[in-house]
Amino acid sequence: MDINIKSIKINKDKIDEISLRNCLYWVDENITWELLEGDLKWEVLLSGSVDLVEKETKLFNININDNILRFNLSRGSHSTREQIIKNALLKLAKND
Amino acid sequence: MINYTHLPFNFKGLQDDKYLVSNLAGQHQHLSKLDFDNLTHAKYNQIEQKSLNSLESKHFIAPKNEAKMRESIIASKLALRIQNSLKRPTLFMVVPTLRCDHDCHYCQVSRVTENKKGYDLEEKHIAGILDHIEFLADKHIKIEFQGGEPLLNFNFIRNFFDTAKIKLKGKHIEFVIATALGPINNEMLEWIELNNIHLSVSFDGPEHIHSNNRPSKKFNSYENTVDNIRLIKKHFKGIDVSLLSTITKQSLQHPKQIVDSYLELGTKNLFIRPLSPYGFATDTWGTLGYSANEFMNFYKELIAYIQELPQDIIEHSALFHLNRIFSQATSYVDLKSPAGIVFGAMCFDYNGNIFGSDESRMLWTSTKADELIIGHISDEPKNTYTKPNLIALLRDTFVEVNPGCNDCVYSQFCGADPVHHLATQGDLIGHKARSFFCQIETQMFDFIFNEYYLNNQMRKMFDGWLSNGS
Repeated sequence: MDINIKSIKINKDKIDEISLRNCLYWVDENITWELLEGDLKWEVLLSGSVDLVEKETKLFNININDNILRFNLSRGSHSTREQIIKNALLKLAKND
Repeated sequence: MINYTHLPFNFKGLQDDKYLVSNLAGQHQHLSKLDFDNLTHAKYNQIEQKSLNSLESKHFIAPKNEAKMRESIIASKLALRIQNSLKRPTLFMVVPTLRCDHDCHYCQVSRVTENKKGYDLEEKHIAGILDHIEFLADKHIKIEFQGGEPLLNFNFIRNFFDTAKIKLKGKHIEFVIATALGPINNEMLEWIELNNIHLSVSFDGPEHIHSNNRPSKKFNSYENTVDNIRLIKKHFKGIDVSLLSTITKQSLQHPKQIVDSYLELGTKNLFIRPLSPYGFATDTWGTLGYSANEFMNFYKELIAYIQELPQDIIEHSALFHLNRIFSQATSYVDLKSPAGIVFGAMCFDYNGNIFGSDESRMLWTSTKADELIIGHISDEPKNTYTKPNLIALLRDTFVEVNPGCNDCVYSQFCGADPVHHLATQGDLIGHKARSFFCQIETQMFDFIFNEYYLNNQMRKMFDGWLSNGS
């Protein structure tokens, strides 16, 4: 089987590590991935069969764009989603 | 001009360059790409006015000076949604026997042969089961007899019914027998009709599919099922019969014939469900199973065919999803967060074990994983439902914070299904990228949202189901 390795580089000011790992969560289990941290850029290496790497790179790029957007939105949010969930659970606990 | 800010939301791109956004309040909004871009780039005042009003009323955006107050409203709405999921169970399943007169290849409960001894629920346990139901139940409940083939222990059903009527007096109880109609006879049918008991019948469609999926050594299973349904519809008109189809690989090529086979029996209510990975189905997945894509291609064709037909047909799996989206209903156990274990359903097995769902029973039957057992019928009810293993089963089933679900646009409408993930991946949360449940549900919601917002005919049909079928 021919193995292909694809390198994807993303500026570190565009996305944080957690958001990047959220993208890697969805990569096909038959792909091996590596996340490298440089001074200015993240580098993701996807390796596996040629066809699968092609397919997964496309999906990964779509996913990255969505997660860059999520990252930006979370920075701009007045409060985090997690804080709202915590408040909801506190309200429930009080009612109980 | 109002100075807006956005509140937390999840999003996903859908067909035709449209976007869906949803939030923790359980609200959603379908947007054009332009409006979505304006929303995500904080150009709120360039959003089309109708969408802008809707986004504000649904708490996706708020005037900056109101943001804190709106976050509090979202938290209250989320608290209410969680509270609604934590209500007392309304469905109680009782397994009078594991014996069966069918040899279904995908049997999810690992049934035993018809004459095997030691697989019947003894009548001495009836009082104990009813103690548990009385302890847990609200005013309106459903008691469903499951199997094996429950009619093979018909005396148990009759005695249980008579005792329940006395013991649970004051509660509104709907009784259901889930059956393949093998052992049914006129005496049973007269009693069933007299006592207003519903029948839920397994029916997989045309003969070549039904008899292949659900063979019996005793009879032609298709002829037996169809003849009995016709008999009931002709002579026992007071009996409400609903049909349920499990889809195997062989069914995938025949969506139209499956719909036609329901119509031939005079039934306009379909319930289509994918194969579940429990019991014998784990061994036969290679020959009977399929991918989520294959199932959804079949399902889309089936729904498109229903929409073309002149009859008003309802497919109840889609209706459960529509109800979850538009009225935040929590009656469908698969789509609950936290999961529906105990809070949705309870199951009393033939051997006296108590499970928090039918799926837990199915998984235990094939694996004997005792952590799935919540208790035993002979246990004191008040000491049964606070055990650590039940808490462990439920603890990680709040999908809004589960990995893979937390940023999913459908997490507000979806469920956790920990038992599915335990069965397929060995842990209760599961890796969603490899989850058949996640793949099916994601594609199901994609389909429903795309059709509802982009296909007027389909929307009309779905609205009709929501008005009349729920």
